[in-house]
Amino acid sequence: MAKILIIDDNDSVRNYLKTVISRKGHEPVTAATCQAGLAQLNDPSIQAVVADLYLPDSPVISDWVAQLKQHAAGRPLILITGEPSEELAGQIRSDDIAAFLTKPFELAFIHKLLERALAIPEPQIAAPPNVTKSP
Amino acid sequence: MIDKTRSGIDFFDQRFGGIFRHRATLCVGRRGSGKTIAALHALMQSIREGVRGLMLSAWHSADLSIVADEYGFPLSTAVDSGQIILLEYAQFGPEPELENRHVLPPGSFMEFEEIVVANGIRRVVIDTVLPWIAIRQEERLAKHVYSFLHALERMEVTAFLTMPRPVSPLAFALKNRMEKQVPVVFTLEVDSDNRRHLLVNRYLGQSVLPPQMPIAIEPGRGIVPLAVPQAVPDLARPLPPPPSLPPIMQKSIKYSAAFRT
Repeated sequence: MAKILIIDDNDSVRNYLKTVISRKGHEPVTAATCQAGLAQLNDPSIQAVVADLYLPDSPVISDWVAQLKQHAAGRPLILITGEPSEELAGQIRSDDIAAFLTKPFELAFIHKLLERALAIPEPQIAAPPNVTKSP
Repeated sequence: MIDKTRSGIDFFDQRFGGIFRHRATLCVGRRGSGKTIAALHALMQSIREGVRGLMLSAWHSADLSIVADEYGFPLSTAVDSGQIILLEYAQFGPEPELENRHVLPPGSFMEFEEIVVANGIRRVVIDTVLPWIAIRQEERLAKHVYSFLHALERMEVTAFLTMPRPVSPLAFALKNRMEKQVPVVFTLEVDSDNRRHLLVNRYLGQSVLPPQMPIAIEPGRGIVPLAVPQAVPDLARPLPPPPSLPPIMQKSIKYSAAFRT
């Protein structure tokens, strides 16, 4: 089990990620602002960070990412965004950011990225429901 | 290294060398233009490659199997053998309230992803893609489409998507957005004289695209090239009537009113 920090100002997204992360056996903690998130990162027991790029109190993206990286201090960092800019894509290639996810569809992959970032084996998925076997 | 695979439409593959593996291909056309037949070509290609394919369709599975059989695709056998999985929008699909839930992934998408992973699906055919990507807020369209296409890529499947021909400004915006992000886009056209064409709108890496290619949709063969224009109508092979079943999710897909289905 890992303690995961979620930084997002949207209640729905925060609660969704919290639910998904809890179901996977991790302990989610949340923050709705940049400042609150950075403060939470002082907790050394937090093992990974999932953060929205655009928050009401966020500085320009590059500064926000730099602050996150500084406070994360090597802990895996997963960014959430809409359509990522070239600037962000370039930064992700050059920096030690684990990944970025786009809303809404890619949020479904958050647990896989976390598991990869934390090097936790992915669980086996049960047989799917509602599969039409024959017409 | 650029990795390609076959689309399943032989003359297209011979001309272009196939489509891009683990990326999406978009087929646009109005109702009766042959989108579903093209989708069946793409689906059955998974059998040729020895991988498992999945089709999410607005058609009732039994009806789709009948149409597939008519055009030479042994769909029922493939489903029975487990090579192909069919999902119906009627039983499975985006929730009607998807339009109002832009920031969270629809639960049905996560279920879809689980089916793909659990069954080792390598090729996904979605006929039509509209229920997933059609939202009314144009300012959110780009991000929504981007997220959907990248979620498909994250599944590492080769996707074949169909979309009705747009007829409203918002629908055109959606098609244009898809065209910008999907590496291969082609349109199936049928004119007032019932002559059919395949027009490649985009093929990433190729700045010069061929003119529209005359095609026919023939029983037992599906989409085939028509080498000689139909100058002498009496010699032309009669075309079968186009599929005409209404989409099952028509009531839920409010956005489809903006498209010519």
